[in-house]
Parts: sequence; C-alpha cells; structure tokens
Amino acid sequence: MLVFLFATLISYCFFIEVLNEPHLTQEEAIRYNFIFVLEFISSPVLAIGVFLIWLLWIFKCWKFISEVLAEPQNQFLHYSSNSFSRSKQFGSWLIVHLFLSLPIIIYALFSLLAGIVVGDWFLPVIFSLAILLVSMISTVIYVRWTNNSKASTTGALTILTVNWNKPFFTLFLYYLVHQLRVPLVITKLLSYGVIIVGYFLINRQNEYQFGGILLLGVVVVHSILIYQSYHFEYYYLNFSRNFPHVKIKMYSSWVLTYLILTLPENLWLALTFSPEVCLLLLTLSIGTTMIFRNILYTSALEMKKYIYVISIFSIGFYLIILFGYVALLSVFNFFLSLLIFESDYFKQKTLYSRRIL
Amino acid sequence: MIELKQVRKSYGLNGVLDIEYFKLSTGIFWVSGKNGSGKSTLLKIMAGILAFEGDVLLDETLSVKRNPIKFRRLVNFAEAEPVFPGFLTGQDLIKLFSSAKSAPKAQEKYFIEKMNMSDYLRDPIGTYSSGMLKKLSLALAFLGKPRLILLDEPLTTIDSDSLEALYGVIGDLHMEGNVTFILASHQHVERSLLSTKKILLKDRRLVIE
Repeated sequence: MLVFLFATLISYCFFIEVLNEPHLTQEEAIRYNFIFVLEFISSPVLAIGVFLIWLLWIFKCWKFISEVLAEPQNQFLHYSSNSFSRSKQFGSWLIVHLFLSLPIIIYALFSLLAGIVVGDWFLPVIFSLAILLVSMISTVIYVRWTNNSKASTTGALTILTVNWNKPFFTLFLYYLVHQLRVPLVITKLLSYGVIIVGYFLINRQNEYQFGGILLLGVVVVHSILIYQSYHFEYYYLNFSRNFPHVKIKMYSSWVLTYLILTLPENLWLALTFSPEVCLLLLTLSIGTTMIFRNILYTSALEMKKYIYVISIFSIGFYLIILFGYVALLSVFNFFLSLLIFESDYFKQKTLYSRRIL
Repeated sequence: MIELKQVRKSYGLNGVLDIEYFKLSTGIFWVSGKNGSGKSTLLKIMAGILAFEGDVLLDETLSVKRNPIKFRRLVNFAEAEPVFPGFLTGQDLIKLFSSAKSAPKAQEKYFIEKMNMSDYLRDPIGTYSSGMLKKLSLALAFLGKPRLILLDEPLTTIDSDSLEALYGVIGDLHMEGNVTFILASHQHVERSLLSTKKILLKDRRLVIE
C-alpha cells in the first residue's frame, strides 16, 4: 500500500495533466517538469528531506522485522534459517530489506538516471551509496536478530510499567504504547490535523454540523487503531470471553478505553462547545467508534475489507450530518452499537479457524 | 453435570463436530482424538469462547447461550497454547482472573506454591518459556469457584515435577471441591492416578470408552 502511495504521488507530481491549462504550452510543461526533476538531483535541501523521510522508513522497517521475528509463528526462524551459512543469510535478508526499500530505490534509480542524462550525478550517486550502506547495516542487524533469539524480549517500557496496576480497560492502551507507537503517533497527528484544518475550513454557523463532521473525521482517522483493538482482543484477550462479565460492563470498558485514547480531542470538544452540544457530539463519537468496532464481532473482516466498509459507513454518516440530523444520528449510532455488541459479543466470528482444531 | 445438545460446528464446508446428545456426570474425563479431530474446538465451545449451533447445559439448567454469565462463572478453561499480552506479568493476570472469576482472597497462593511459580510471577510474560506460560495458564484456570474445568493439552511442555503437582491439584479439587475436569490430550493421562474416564472424539462424535 505504501509503495502504491509513493508511486501514485510521484506519478502525480510528474504526469498530472491539469484541466483547462491553456496558459501552459507543451514545451513549457516539459520545461517545468524538467526543472522539477533537476531539483530532485541537485537540491541538497530536497536530498536531506528525502534522506530524513527515508531514515524514518528504515526505522519502521527495523521495527517491523523485529516484531515479525518475535511472533510465535516465526520462532522457527531462530532455529532453522540460522543453519544457513552467514553469507546465504546475509543475501536473503538483503533481498528482504531491498524489497522493503523499493520506494527509495525507485527514487534513487530515477535521480541517478536523470543525473547521468544531465551530467549532474554527484548527489544521486551519494544517495545511492548511502542506500547501499544502510541496507548492508540493516541486513547485518537482521542476521544478528535471527541468530540471537533474545534480541526481541523485554523493552525498557515493559520494565518501567511492570509494577503498575493494569485494569482491563487499560490493556489496549498499554499495548498501543508498547507495540504500536508509530501508528499511534501518526493517528494522533492526523486526528489533530483534521481538527485544525476542519476548524478553519468548515462553516461554524451550525455547530452541530461543524462538530459532527469534525468528530466523524476524528473517528475515521482512528479506525486503524479501532481495528487493532479488535485484533488485540481477538488474539491476546481471547481468554476474556470465558469471563463472567456482563456485556454492558465489557461495552463500557471499551468505551472508557476510547475516551482515554481520544482524551485531547474530547477536551477540545468540551472547551469548544456548550455542554449540551458537547454531550451530543460525544455520544456521536462513542456510538460511531463502537459501531466501527462491533461490526468486526459480526463479520471478522480482514483489514482491506474493513476499510471499504468503514468508508461506506462514513460517507453515509457524513451525508446524514450534512442534512442536519446530528442528534438523530448520535442516538441511532449509540443504540445500534449497543445492539450489535449485545447480539454478537459472545458469538464472534473466527478469524483463522483452522488454527484451533 | 454437563450436556451437549445438537452441538454442530463447522469451519466453512469442513464439519468438525456433530453431536446429537452427550451427557457427562461428575468426574475426571480425558478426551482423546487424533490431530484435527476437534478436541480444542469442543473445549472452546464448552467454555463459551466459540460460536456454534446447539446448546451446552451445566447442571441441566444453565445454558451457555441463555445464561452466559452464570455459566462462565462456573466453567473455567485453559488453552492448549495460551497467548497473553507480553507486557503483563503473571501477577497482573492472576489479579485479572481472580477479579473476573470472583476468587476467594489469596486463593492463588496454593496453586502458585504447588506449581512452583513464585520465582517468575513478577516478570513480564514476554520473558516466559512455554512451560512457565503453560503452568501459569493452568493456575489461572483453577481460580474462582468453578464446577467444571476444561484443560486443553495440559500435559504438554511442563516438567515432570509440575506434572505430578498438576495431577495433585486436579485430584484435590475433584475430591474436595467436587470439581469436574475435562482434559483434552494427545498424551497418555495417568488414569489410575486420577481415576479418569476416557472419551474418544472420532468422526465428529463423542464416545465413552
């Protein structure tokens, strides 16, 4: 998906044909595109910017590989793949890393090609060598990890929180902080971005509509974390379905989790709107969030299908808000989410049924 | 004690269980069957963890579907391959289970001592070996006031001393607390030690041997 996004953005920059563009002749368009290409290969600022983004990407790759290696189903790699010679292990991991680095390799090849054509190849060559060097370092790290099974055990954060009290509703929050820091940070940044951009772009005359649209945006931005919370419950808290908990208690527990997760957004809500509007919008937020979560109990969707379903729901809710039925939608979503939870919590669909035979 | 009524379960087109009626009285039972015969599925259904067709009744009155809370208060379960969040400690899980299953105060001490677990309970679960994790999950299944305890592959990965301790705990709970046990296991269960009755799961049905 990230590769697709990268390719789309790059092709958009280079090949977009703007509608009704009579002021640019064919030659001018080519010239501007060419200037843009030259910037890519000659501007140190752009090169540093790309380099920093790429470093973030590399850290993400390291995190991904370390997590995958720590998964129980991949433990066999620690006693099988390391029987290969070091050079073979190195070669295999290098291929894995280069595959993960495809977007940046495409960028480097492109800038190298353009640099050779125009004779300005210094930065592209430096950049390509840096990619090669970091790929080598990453590969050495991966090889060490597979040859040392203790590489991915207890983090500093786990040790820090070891004596803290951990009620049920906080478990997913701990999981986020321990395992999903990058998605958490990206989600929160996007969420604040939605509020800031929406605050200036959306008409604030009707505060129900204004708040409703913004909160719908916030919930949609959180949908990946909502999906992860279901995934976490399914795999790590599966035992809890044998607990004699009243369903409303479990529902409230997850609501509490999301209220804490969206605490800054909720504070903004309280500071921006009157108490009645705030309460109504909070109900909308809780109801919509819990619908997005509880449909997973009904369908056990994979991430891709889940995103489609969420998109359809969101468009529907957006239209209802635009028509001014915010109060109705708040109450409807809240009760619908309760209904789904009540009906399907103990009847959850199985994700990978073969594994439990 | 426990009744299975028209219990049917399939994964896609693959039927796993088709039990018209099956009843067990109080005792210790060993469910045997080949790989993929549906032993774990059966135990998960009886624990209320897996959706299925039909019904499971405890003491002829409590249905897993109609009385989910009361049923789960009396039925405990330990998975074959327990998975818990790695950042939690054994102590955290004991607190969580004790609270959920309304365990008497300090009940866990007996199991911790018997299974020799006190050394590592304050460590994060991510650092546990499979044997340590297995013993923890078994101890968690004993918490509360259960009438039925379902143990999926309880004999795997634990050492011989712990195995003996496990047999001791099962025997004690059965004799003193009248707790019924259903153990699904590939390995041979010491039937003489526990006076266990064997049940065979074959062709999607249960048969007492």
